[in-house]
Formats: sequence, C-alpha cells, structure tokens
Amino acid sequence: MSAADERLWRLGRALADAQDASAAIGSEERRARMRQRFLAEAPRIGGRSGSPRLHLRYSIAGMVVLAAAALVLFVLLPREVPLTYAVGEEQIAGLVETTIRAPQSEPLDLQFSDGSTIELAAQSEVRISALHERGCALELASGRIFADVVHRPHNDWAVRAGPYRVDVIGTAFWIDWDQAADTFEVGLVRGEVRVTGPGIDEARTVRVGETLRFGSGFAPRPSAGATEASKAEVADVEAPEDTVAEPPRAAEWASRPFGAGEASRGGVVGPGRSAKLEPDWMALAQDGEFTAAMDRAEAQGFATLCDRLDAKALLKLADVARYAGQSDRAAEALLALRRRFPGGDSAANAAFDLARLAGKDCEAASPWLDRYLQERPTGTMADEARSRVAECTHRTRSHD
Amino acid sequence: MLRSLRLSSSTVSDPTETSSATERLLEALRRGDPGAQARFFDAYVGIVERVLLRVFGPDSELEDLVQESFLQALTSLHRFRGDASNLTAWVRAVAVRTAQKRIRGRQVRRRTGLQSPEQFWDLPSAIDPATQAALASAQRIIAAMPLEHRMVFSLRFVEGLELREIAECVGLSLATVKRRLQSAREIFESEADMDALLHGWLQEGHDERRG
Repeated sequence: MSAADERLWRLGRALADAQDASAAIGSEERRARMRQRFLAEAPRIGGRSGSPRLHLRYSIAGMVVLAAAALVLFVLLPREVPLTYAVGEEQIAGLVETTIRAPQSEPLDLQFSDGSTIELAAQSEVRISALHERGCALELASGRIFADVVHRPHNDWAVRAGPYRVDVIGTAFWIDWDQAADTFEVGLVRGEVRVTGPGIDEARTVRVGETLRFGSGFAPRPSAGATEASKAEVADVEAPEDTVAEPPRAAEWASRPFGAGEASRGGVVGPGRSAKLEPDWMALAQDGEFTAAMDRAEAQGFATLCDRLDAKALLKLADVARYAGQSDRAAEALLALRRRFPGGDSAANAAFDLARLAGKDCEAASPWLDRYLQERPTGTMADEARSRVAECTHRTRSHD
Repeated sequence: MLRSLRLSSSTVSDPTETSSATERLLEALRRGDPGAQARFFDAYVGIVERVLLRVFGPDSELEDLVQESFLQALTSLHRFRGDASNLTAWVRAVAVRTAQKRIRGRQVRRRTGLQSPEQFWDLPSAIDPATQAALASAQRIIAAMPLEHRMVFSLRFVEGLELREIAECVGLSLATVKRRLQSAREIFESEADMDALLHGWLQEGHDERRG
C-alpha cells in the first residue's frame, strides 16, 4: 500500500470513528428504541416473506386488483386525448390560439404532454394554432425555435413560418424565420422533416446534417451553385448521421437574441454543425472517466464547447475538467458560462466554483466569493462563501 | 477516540454465520415464528446501522433508514436465494439500496428546491477543532459526490469493506467497482486539495503532521 493510500485510509478511519461517536452507534437506548419501532411494524409485513399460503393469497389479490385497474382504465380512459403543454420553468398551462413570446435575453421552453419540447430563442414568437391527439400546429411568427418531437406512430406536427411549412413525425430540428429579411432556415439534428413553400417545387425532405435555406435574404453562394437568391439553397450538407450528436438543445443560438447574430447567415450555420458535436465526453464523465472525457472534449474543440453548450452542460464540463486535474480548463468553462449566461443561478454557481478553483489563494478567490454573495446573498452556498471570506480575512490579517 | 484497527466485515465475527443458527433463523422468519423478527433485528442491527451511517452520513433520518432497511429486508426475504453464509452481505446490500433510494429522492427534492442541502450532526467535540473541521470537510465532499461514487468511496475508505464485498453491496462487477472507486478517489483528492486542512492531512498524514 502506498503512503498516499495509507493517508486516505487513516482519514477514512478517523471519519468512521467520528461518525460512530456522533451518531452514538451501538447505544443501547437507541437500539432499544429502534427495535421497539421495528417490532411494532414488522408483524404487518412479516407474513409476506414467509408463508407460501400467504404468498398465494397476496398473488391472487394482486391479480384481482390489477385486473380491476385494467378494466377501469379500459372503460374510463379516452383512447386519445389532445396534447397539452406548459410554458417555462413555472410550468404555466398553455392555451390554444395563444401567442407566446420569449423574453428579451433568455430562451423559453414549451413542454408538451407527450414529452416533446420546443425551445424559443430569446425574443422569438410563436402562436400555438391547434393541439390535437397526434401533435400540434404552430406558427413561428419570428425568430428561432428548436424542436425535439417525440416519435410516435402517426404523429402530426406542423410548423408554419410565413409561407413555409415543415411537417414532422418525430425528430429534432431548428427553424429560423425572419420575415423582414425574407430568410427561412431549417436544420436537422435527428430524424427528417418535409418542407414546402415558395421556391420548392415538391415537398423537400431534409435529413440529419442538412441545413436548408430559402428566401431572398440569403446571398447566393458560389460554392452551392445557386444562381438566384430566391432559390432553395442547401448549406453545409454533411454526411447523414444515424445518431444525434449534440444534446438536443442548441443553447448557444437559443440564448442569442433573434437578429443579433447575423454571422449565421450566408456562412457556416452554427446549429448545423451541432450534429458533429458528439456528447460522448459527457457519457464518459458519467462513467467517471474524467481524463478520457477531457481528451474527448479537447478533440471536439474545447473552445467550441464553451461557446455552444448550455449553462448546465458548461458546469458539468467545468467539473469534469476539475476532476481531471485541469483547473485552467475548468476556469475557462466557468468564465464562458458567466459570459454567456449572466445573471442566472448557474452564473452565480460558476462564481462560487471559480473561488473554489482558486483554493487557498485568497487574493484570487475573494473577488469571486464576493461576486457570488452579491448575486446570491441567500444562495445555497452563501454560508460557505461567507465562511471562506472570513477565513481569507483572518489569513490576511495574520500575515499583516 | 480513534479506533486503532479497522475491521473489515469479512473479519467481523458473526456468530449467526458460523453455525446453523442463521439457517434456523431464516426458516423461522419464513415460517413467521414468533420472536424470529426480534432475533433477526438483534443479529443484524449493528451491520445495518453502520453501513447506513457510512453511506448516508450522521443524519437525523438515520433511524428511519434502519427501520426502512429492516422492513425492506423482511418484505423481500422470500427472494433471498443464498445460503446462510450470504445473509450478512444480502442484508447489507438491502441497506445500501435503501440509502441510495433515499439519497436519490433528496437529490431530486433539492434540485426542485424542496430540500435544503444535507445537514449532518456535529462531529464529536472531543476531537481537536482542526481535525473536526477536516473531517467535516471530508464528509461534505463525500456527500457532494455523484451517488455511485459516494457509495463505493464510503464503503471502501470509510467502512473498510473489501472490493468484492462492495461489488455485492452495490450490485456491480468487480471491475466496475474498481474503476468507479478510482474516479471517486480522484474527485475526493481534487476537492480535498482545495481545502487547507484536508490537503495537509493527505499530504503529510495526520499522525506525521501532529508529530
């Protein structure tokens, strides 16, 4: 056993002893109390573990109950009910024929009862025209949406954006519609959709990895071979992939106010590339393979991940970097989170994590602790932040 | 006072397992004999209480978990297919699963803002303040680990179980337990490194530091 192992064992032993003392393990009084409580309750279930006869009775009773429940469900439940949806984190019940607009600087989620979700980018506006058993009809008035529609047989989801219509069965895709600029863009992350509209002779099927652009607002690109701006243009066509790569939220574009990011037009389309971002760094992290996860994240482009991931995934990425012993990368992810998602809980937590990264370096840690306390004075880590600030103050005074 | 020797459960002498008493106890429980449940409780309460304390921490819900673990064991005893010598491992696994379930429930409630972070009882005041603070930090770090890492780390380094015993407890292969334990250790050391007291403890060793 190495010296490091031995030290860890010693710490564990000391902790076990302290826990035993703290919890009064082995206390007769405590055991008597627990024993009494157990014996009061146990006889009620004791028979289940023993007698085969009782087993049979329970089994028969169980079957009767199940049969009755099945009958009730069969008789009472309608075969199909129209979908419902909830808006935002507050889960406000959504209505049909309602217009919903995302806030100025934050995306907004619509969660449907079949598990499908639609995320509106900041400042985007949709109208829910109809909800039925097999789907939903909605109109994208302006902005971007990212939809993740759960695949079910005979699904009937449709999105209208101006003169364009996108029919969906089960898929993840985004649509960007700007009526003023006359630009319509649809891209696939999973599955396929069919698009109809001006400039499209027949319904055009869009597959994974493809980004389709229509409308006069797009400048023709010589490489695409389009001769007229109004013609449909297939941009960034990539080899179709069978699997979803990016987690089904393209938070980078969703958090960007609609109209703010002109860079996506006429050039390489941000979300279109999301299909290349395989999430396996996260899968590796979930398996505890932090170093391998970081290697994969580096291979995918750490800076790109910092620019693309949503706040939750960025916190995770920072944790993974920290666990892999790469503090600089952890700081990079946390700073990206604060830059891209200012003002939220995640940003405050990132400030606290940045203080933790600074460790014993009070000069580096203090500003982040102060920042956390300013942003979340009653947050879950506020006590610990205050205690660290006090510790730093004490140290500074000691040095003086 | 610190224990001078860690006893792995494989070295704990369990009279019920060294004789046919366990077989008789199992039979009695299955028949529903009066007194069998009390004997079952008396024989295993120490093991259940200790393993729950390690994986769950010194928490006010500990007694509830002991109760829940025993009731769960009794309810599912008919599914126990091992022989008497495996009963301890099985009971311990039931307790670990019960704790896991409770911790998961807490995590969900915490994410939805319905539960505050885990609050452990204070560690004994007899310990010197620096050690007390270091141990409290260690406990916090363990509690903040991902659940699967928390389990294997606590069972290995705090409870002192053998890897094979941990694999039985958490229902994983030995290789997975080893891998997970290595990750858990990396997490712990990475966090401990940022804590001045724990850092000193792990770098120099408590006794050496004192010396």
